[in-house]
Amino acid sequence: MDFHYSKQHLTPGEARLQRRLEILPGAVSWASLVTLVLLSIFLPFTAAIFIVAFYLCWLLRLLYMTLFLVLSTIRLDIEKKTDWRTRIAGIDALTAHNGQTPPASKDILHLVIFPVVKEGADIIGPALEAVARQNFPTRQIMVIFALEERAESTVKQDVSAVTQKYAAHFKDCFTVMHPSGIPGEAKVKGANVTWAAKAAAERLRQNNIPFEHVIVSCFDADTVVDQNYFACLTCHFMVEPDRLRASFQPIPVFHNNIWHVPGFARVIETGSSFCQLVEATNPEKLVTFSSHSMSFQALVEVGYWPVDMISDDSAIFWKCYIHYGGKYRVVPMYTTVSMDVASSDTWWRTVKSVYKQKRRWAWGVENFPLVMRGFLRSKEIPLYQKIRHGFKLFEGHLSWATWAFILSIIGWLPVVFARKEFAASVVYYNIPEIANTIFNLGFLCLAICIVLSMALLPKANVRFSRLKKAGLALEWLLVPVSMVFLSALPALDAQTRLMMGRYLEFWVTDKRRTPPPP
Amino acid sequence: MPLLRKVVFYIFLAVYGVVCPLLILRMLGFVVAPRTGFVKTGLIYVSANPPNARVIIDGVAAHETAPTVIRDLTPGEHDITINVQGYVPWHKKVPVTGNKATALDNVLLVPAAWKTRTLTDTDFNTLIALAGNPPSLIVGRGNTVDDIVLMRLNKNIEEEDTLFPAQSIYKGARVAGYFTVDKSPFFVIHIVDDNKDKYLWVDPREKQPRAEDITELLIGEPKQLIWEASDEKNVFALQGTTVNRLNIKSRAIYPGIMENTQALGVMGNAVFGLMPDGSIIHCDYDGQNKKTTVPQTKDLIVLAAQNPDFLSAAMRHLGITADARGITPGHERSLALIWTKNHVGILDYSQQTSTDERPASVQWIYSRGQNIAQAFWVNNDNNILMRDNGNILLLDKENFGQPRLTQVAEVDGEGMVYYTDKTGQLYYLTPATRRLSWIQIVPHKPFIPTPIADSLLIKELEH
Repeated sequence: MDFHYSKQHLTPGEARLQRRLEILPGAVSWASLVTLVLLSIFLPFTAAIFIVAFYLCWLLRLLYMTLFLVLSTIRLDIEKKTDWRTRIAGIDALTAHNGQTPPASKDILHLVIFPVVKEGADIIGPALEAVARQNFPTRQIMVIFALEERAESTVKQDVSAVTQKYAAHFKDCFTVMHPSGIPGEAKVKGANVTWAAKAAAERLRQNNIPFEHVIVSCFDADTVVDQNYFACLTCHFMVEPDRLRASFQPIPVFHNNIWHVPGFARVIETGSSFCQLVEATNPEKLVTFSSHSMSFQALVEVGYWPVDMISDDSAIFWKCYIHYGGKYRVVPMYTTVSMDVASSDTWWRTVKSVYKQKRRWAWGVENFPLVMRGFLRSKEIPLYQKIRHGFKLFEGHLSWATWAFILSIIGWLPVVFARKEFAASVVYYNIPEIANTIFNLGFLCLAICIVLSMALLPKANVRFSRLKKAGLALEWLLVPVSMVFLSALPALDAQTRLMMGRYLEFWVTDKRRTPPPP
Repeated sequence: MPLLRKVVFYIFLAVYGVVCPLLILRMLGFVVAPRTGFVKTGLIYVSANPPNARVIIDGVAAHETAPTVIRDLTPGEHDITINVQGYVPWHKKVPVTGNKATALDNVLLVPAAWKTRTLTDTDFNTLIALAGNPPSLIVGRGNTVDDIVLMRLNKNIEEEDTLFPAQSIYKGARVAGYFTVDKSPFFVIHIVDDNKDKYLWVDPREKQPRAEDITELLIGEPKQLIWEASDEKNVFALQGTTVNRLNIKSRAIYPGIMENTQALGVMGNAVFGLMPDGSIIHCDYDGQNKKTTVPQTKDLIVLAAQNPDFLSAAMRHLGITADARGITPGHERSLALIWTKNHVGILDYSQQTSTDERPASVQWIYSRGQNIAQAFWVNNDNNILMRDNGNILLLDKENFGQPRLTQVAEVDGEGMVYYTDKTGQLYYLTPATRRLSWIQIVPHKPFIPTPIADSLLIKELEH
């Protein structure tokens, strides 16, 4: 379907619809919170019933997610041991025998794009080294540094130095400078990588490399891929029947600087990894997130990444989904890509950095109005799929912005604001008892998360004592606070900005690989 | 995995569909009985002072000691006994209503023997209470300033200071009277020195109390001296029917800020005057912006507690016909303790508005008094202590129709007593020896568990 996935250049009718849909998530989140607060004050019995129903729903959802988190973690552990090269060889042999697709693995080319704006050699060096040390022929990998023209000269020098150092490893390794101020573009990563992808397309055409044999991986500059990443990706690409209409989503972990960031940041980012592990068990509703890979042909056909959106990582999935009339999917891959935890030189700056990063992630809500407009226009996407995806997208952002507030603060308001009549009811005494029981059960899930988080930590880097590990476990007790201030609040902030039409600008996350000075 | 997700999802959905209504019904107090199906139940919340009391309901001990919540009680009366070793068991039939909670908040247990302590080995004839931190008592042995002792009611030790040093210029002066203000640490002492009346403003907060002669600021004998509890600068004097403001720091007089005044009150940076026709006028400290006012009920109660001359006006406003002797606001919002010669009642003005013509609701909880002279809220408004014709009596506020009246001590018929909930101690002069003594009425400072909003308000009020 020919759908212009952008909020620009709309007809007046589309612009009105776009604006109304932009208002909707924030308005519903605020209405939910304010209604609950007002109910707690003026109709505490009604509020109490809702809150208990909500607590139970939260507990069951938590148990459900924990169950699939455990299963997903087990699968990740199992698939780590997979010999992807042997599997690829097997598929090659099979396809050679019956002469059918997929392409032979030797014909598959990996195009890797690293967008760079302020990352130095300490960030991009390890990222490129991880690509160079793949358990896969690196001569089948083409690396592009998508460098912003506005980047400082030291960054440009670093990119040049790193490129020279590793160029020999790859089929090709070069830098594409993205000019600033191109009309219609915002200062976003999508514009930079799109510019680079277009340059790559030109080079592929010159070299007569068919796009359907090219897998593009768009990585954040700090992404350090697992050594089996490209083997795993190649295998998944080969076995996926509709490989040209699929994205491939690895599990993001945030281990690059995990030991050098404050506890709250560690907990928050581990929580993000857990979310992706849980999401990976549900490919039908999986949406691309952060660093991922996809068919280059699909990328070209849909017109590359949006050049005016911050959340290009999820937007590209929705763009493809609408373009192909719902016949596009995300294939989960149980291999990891490691990134940096947002970090800065002081504790407070790290808090601000994490907050801004989460707000940027939550700005993914900007996809909602576009997706809804696309769904309304599309006659090819089945209604059931529209409702299912639309509901998940909307509910996901709503719960992100509201649940932590309800659990940590609003749930207690009926008791705090209790007047005589409510204070003289059994409800007043029973709510805390029920809440305590539910939260105690919730702590079971938290305990499981603690165990899993310890299991997921990068073992090679562990040089800390058991006492330090115990401290890491205790950091999880910060979850109630960090969920409110570094997850729900930035999400509500993002939704409110979208609601008010105060659009967010791209903000490059601070990253540090060394511990902050004492 | 997607199939497993679906299966587990529908299982969880079914669990939610079943458990959620049951949980909500449980929260509302419904339990399932084998024969009758769902039964509406109530609960009793018990907290006691002293804590960790054993609670026995209908002959069965509760699992936890107080504070505790006893749930799933069928509507009707239930026998509750609260028991701590060394205290008289508290026993009552407590009514329980379906879906309702009956709160037995801070049930004050009466010790088998009251813990008393004699603080001095000399006899006194005067006992006047002062607020402050710590609160203090003025006790007098005789009629001269040399006989006045200031007792600071510290947590454990009561320090004894003579009010004036031995070399004081007021040595030998006769004490003619005191002016005090509720909740204020300051007082004015009226002395007669060389046949001349003198009025000394005393700030007892320092180790050696500071006295300042304000006689020259007064034009003749004042009927009333009053000030805002924490204001150490402005004193208002009712002289005849005229109100003057005295600035004791700059030693200035601002005369005639109000005329034709029968009684005087100060509250919230405003001066209140009771007019001969019973109306109340208020103005600012400079006598400006005079307005006839109908104060809000709570303000009227504060005025009446500050100055009993306002009592009749307060009673008239509240539509209460009783001939009240005193009133004191409670910590709890919209509640006041009111007493007459024979009755003690609780005034609940939560429904009363400033324009409301309906009489306020007074629940008379004690009617057999003979000559009730003083009454205090005790144990965060859960009990009442009163001085009635030589007896100190303790009463429960909530008695479920079964009043519990306990005699605490005997005092002289006219002897003032002082009780402070900060320490839970009652100070009095023993009738035989006239020595200053205390009785520990409340064993522990009570904690107010419910409702939280009210307890926040109490903290605010205490602040």
